[in-house]
Amino acid sequence: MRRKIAATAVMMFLLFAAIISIPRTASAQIHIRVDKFSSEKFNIAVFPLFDVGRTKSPSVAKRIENRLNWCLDFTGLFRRINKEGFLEKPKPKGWKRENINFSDWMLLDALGLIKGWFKQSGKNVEFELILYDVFLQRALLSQRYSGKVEDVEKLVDEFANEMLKVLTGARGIFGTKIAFVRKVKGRRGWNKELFVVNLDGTGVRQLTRTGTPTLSPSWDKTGKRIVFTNFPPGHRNAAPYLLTFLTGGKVSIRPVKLFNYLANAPRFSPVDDRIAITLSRDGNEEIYIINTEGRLRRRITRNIAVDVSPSWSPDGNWLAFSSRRSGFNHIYKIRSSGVGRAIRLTYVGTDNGSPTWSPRGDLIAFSGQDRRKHGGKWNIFTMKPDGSELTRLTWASGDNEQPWFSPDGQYIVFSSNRRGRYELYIMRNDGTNQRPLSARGVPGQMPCWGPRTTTGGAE
Amino acid sequence: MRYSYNKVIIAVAVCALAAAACASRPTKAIKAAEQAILDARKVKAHECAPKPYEKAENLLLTAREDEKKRDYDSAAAHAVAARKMADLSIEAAVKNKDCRPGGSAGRVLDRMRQRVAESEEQKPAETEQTPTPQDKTAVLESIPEEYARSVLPGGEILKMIHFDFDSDKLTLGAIEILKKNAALLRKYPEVKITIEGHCDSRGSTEYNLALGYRRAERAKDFLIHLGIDPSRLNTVSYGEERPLDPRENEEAWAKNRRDEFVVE
Repeated sequence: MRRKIAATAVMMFLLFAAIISIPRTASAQIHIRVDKFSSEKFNIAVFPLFDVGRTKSPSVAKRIENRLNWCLDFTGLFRRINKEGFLEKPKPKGWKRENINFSDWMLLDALGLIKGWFKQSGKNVEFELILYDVFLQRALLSQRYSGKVEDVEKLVDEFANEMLKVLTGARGIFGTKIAFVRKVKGRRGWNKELFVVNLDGTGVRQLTRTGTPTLSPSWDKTGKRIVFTNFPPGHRNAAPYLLTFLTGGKVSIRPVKLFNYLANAPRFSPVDDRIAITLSRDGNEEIYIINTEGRLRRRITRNIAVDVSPSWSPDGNWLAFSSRRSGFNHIYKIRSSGVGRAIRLTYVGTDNGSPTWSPRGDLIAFSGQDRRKHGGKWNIFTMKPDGSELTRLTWASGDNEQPWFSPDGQYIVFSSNRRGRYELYIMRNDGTNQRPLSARGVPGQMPCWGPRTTTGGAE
Repeated sequence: MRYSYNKVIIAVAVCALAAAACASRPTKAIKAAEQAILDARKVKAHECAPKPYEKAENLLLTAREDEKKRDYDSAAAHAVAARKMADLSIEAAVKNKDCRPGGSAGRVLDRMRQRVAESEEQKPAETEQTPTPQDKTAVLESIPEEYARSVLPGGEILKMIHFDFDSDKLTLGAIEILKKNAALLRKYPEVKITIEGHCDSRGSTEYNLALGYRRAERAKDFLIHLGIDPSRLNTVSYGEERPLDPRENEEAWAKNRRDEFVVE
């Protein structure tokens, strides 16, 4: 009876809350806004998983918990509540809603609570993770997973992605990969070669051993191919090459086409198989669109200055690029149909390059330097696609170059030499939560974040 | 005891005098030659291309003997020739498709052959090998490391040109050098060259690749203007990927902003 009254009260409250909050979020449930800067972090408690099988296998529980904590910290949206302060003790069925004393968690200022159980049998593991809204006192997400023990991290990534979908409206990006180039010593001295790495810095894998400079990797929309710049044998100019991930961890590499002039910085379209590229036909760099066989589809720019580094808008209708037509390098955008003029987006700095369009379409990031200021250091900036709201994201931390957005547009991977050598770093798209890809550091440059469907790459 | 000290001091003094009198010891060139020969061994060039490989080894031996005799000029010339010959032996090993060693050497060779096959332009095999500096008078001075690839058949060097920061304009100094290079190219009408454009590390990587291309094309245009047949001139840009001096300061940057003229 009492429960029924409580339930009715909750229902009433819910209805009321829903009504008064319609203009704001249209939902009473906790919603983390990711479209604007917020220093407020979402308090969350991760309760130790209950061992249902009593197999005394704390290592799996530890791995699930560690991965979950890593995912939460990666987002920069959460503050994890210290386990020491938990008032509740682990108990059987402790993950059930009716067995949770939510007021205890309110005392700890927790907004969210993750509970669950696991059962290990041999090489297999089964577990369930439940995300509770402490104030609504109900489960927002409940997911059950079973699989091999070695895949535990992948399964937790899956939960974290779902959880972000519930809390922010957009699925997370855990489980994606990043392609990049790294200087390695080869037969003829130092060269950059193509690599791929998991989001947590593990599984670094070298994809090319060409012995010539390898630059500007760009993933296609399926995550099965990478187009990049490489030098053909026989003292020839750089050309676009296409790498395809085959089954069994193998890759195949072929030139898209060997041009009789420089072909620089290819970029796969996010909607189809077109590649935007800079071709130095007649000794003048212009942006063109080619297909994967290297056939010219369209010339985009017409200007005597250097035009390089095209980047597609998410709908494929625009290209942002860097041009020296004003006397310095600045960012411009132009329709990928080739119709209409280039629109200038930046007016400050002297070397603005590597523009990259957010998959959400709300931002363009680029790296820029002013030879006359900042001691000539490179820094990462973002702006709206109309050039407004220019924001500097990196400050006094060495050179920061070559930004690339995550598939959800929430994060930016970039290359920084703030600790000496160039390493890969990740930050939120507002510049907060800057961190190296892994604590030990992943040396590399020109990172390119793969799509959610990435199949190939690191183990 | 005191006697032997004196001996040491005298020996040091003699060495110092000798070093001051002669050209510097070509340790770098010899090391490079040794490395090239090691690289050649890695692809089993001594099996797949024994002739050039042995030539390279002999040249290195001569270089070492010359170095012992303090004939540093000759030693440098032989070391450079040894390196070139070792590189040639690798190329020859790649071309000698019948030779299939096992192990890692075989895999490396296969990969290199595949890359050669991939290139559209199948150049006819070079019949003439780089001349060895038999004639010591031809190599007047020890060739600096950075010019090892710019030596003409008679031992003359095609000098590199330098550029101002973020510019592809030919400076007055560059124009003078290009005129001299054009004269040398007229002297050897059979020689083909590749003009390599390079940049310093400032500017974005992708922009620098474009800038290096413009620098190479500028020099090519000027050489054509001076009457050199365009079919003898190839251009390639390495952007900021192949610095002569990897340091990050004005001196290094100035060195790295250059066009190199590589004899094919």
